[in-house]
Amino acid sequence: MEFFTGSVTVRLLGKLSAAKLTQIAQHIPLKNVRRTKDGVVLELPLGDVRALRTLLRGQGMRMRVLKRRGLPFLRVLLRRSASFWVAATAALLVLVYLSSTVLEVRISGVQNAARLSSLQQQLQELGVQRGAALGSIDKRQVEEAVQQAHPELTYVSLRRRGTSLELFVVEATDPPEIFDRNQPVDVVAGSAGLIVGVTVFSGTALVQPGDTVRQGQVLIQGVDHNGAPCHASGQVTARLWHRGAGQADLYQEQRQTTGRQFTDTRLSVLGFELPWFQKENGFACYDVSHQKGRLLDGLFFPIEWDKITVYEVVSSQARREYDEVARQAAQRALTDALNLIPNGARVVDKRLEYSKIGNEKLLATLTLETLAEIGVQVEGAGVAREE
Amino acid sequence: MDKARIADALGLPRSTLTGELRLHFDGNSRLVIEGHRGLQEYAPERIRLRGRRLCLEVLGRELALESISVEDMVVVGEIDSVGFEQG
Repeated sequence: MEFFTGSVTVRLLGKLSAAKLTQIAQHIPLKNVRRTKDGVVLELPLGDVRALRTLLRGQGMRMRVLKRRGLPFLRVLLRRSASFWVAATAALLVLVYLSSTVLEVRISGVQNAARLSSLQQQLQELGVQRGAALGSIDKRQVEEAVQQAHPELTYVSLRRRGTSLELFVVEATDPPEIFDRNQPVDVVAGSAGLIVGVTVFSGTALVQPGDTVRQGQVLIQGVDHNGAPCHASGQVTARLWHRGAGQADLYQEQRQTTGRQFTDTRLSVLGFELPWFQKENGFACYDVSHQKGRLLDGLFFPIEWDKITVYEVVSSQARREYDEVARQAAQRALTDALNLIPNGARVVDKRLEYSKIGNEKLLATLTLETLAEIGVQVEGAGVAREE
Repeated sequence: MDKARIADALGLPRSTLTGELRLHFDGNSRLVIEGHRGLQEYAPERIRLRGRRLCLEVLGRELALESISVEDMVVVGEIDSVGFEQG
C-alpha cells in the first residue's frame, strides 16, 4: 500500500528535541527514525510532507529530502520519458503477439517414420503449424480428425505448453494374424535350417528329418490325402545356426585434462543459434560438456540456453589388456547373435573364434546352434512359395 | 472495583484498561512499546519515554525508532537493558 501512496526519507537539520519528535509523531506516523550528528533522519508518507513543514515552521529547523519512493514518483519519472513508453508498448505488443502464436509443434509417441510424416502433413493441413494463432486451433476438432485419419492410433491428445503444441499419440499394437480353421493354408519354413523332426496334424509333409530347408520353403502342404485343399498344421523342428560378430579396440585413447578450460553460454531461438557473444575456442584438443535449459521454461519464447564448458585435453593411445578386449568383443558377438535367435529357440551348442582386423581391432565371431520350431502358416494351400 | 481487578476478571491484559505500558521483545534487537505518552529523551544510546505512571528507559547501542505514532513505537538496535522509574 505504501508503494502506491509514496513515501519520502528526509533529514531534519537542527536540534530536534524528544518532545518535538513526540509532537510530530502525534500527527504523522514516522518510520525509521535515526539520530545523526547534525539532526534526525526519518521516513514519512508523501501526503504528510506538507504537515511536517507546518510543524517545523518557526523551530529553526530545515528539511532536506534524501530519498523518494513509490508509484507517484515513478509515474512522474515515466511521464518525462516518451521513448520508454514507446519501447514498453512495442515490447508489450510483441509479447502479446508471440504469446498468442504457435512457435513450435511437436509430435511424440510415434515410432514409425512414415506415420510421423503423415501426421506432420495432416497437422499442417489442419492449420496446426508454426505461426498459426493459438486461439484459432480447435483442440478437440484436431484430435478427432487425427484419430479418424489414423485408426491405428489408440490415443490422440493435442497439448498446449506455453506457445508450443504437442501432439501426443499412442500407437496400437497389431494383433497376431489368425487364420480361419477352415481356410486352406501351408506351413512354410520361417528360417533356413536342418530338419530334425516333423509332426503333421493335417496336410501332407514335404520334408523329413535330415533335410535342409531354405526360408519360405513349404514344409507341410495344405492338401489332404484326397488331393483337396486343407488347413495344414503341424510341428517342424529344425537345427539352426546363428552367427553374431563383435569388435573391440586393441588400443584405447586416453584423454587427460590439462586444467585449462573456459565456459560460454549460447542462446538459440527455434533451433537457430544466435551468433553473438560466442567465444573462440583456441584449444587444439578438447572435450565439451553441455548444460541446457529453456528461458522461463519456454513459456513465452522458445529460447534455449546452452552453457558449454570446454576442457583442454591431451590425447594418447594405450594398449589394452588382451583378455579385457577379448571379453568385450565376445560380449558384443553374443548380443549380436542373441538378436538373431527366434522366440522359443533352445541353444544346444556354441563356437567362438577370434581374429584380428589389422593391428587395431579384435573380431569375435560366435556361432550359436539352436533347436527351434520353424513352421509358419501362410495363406494359400498347395502353392509352394520360396523367398 | 479497580480497573486491574476488572481486567483480571475479564481475562484481559491489565494494560488494556489501566493504560499502562505494554512491551513486546523480539530478542534484544527489537522492542515494541504500546501505550506510551511521548518521548522524553532520544539518543542512539538511550531512549526515555513516558507511560501513564512510569517512565521507561531503554539503554543500548545504535538505538533507532523503526516507527513512532500516537499509539505505539518500535525501538530497534542492540538493547542492553530496560528500566522503569516513577514518572
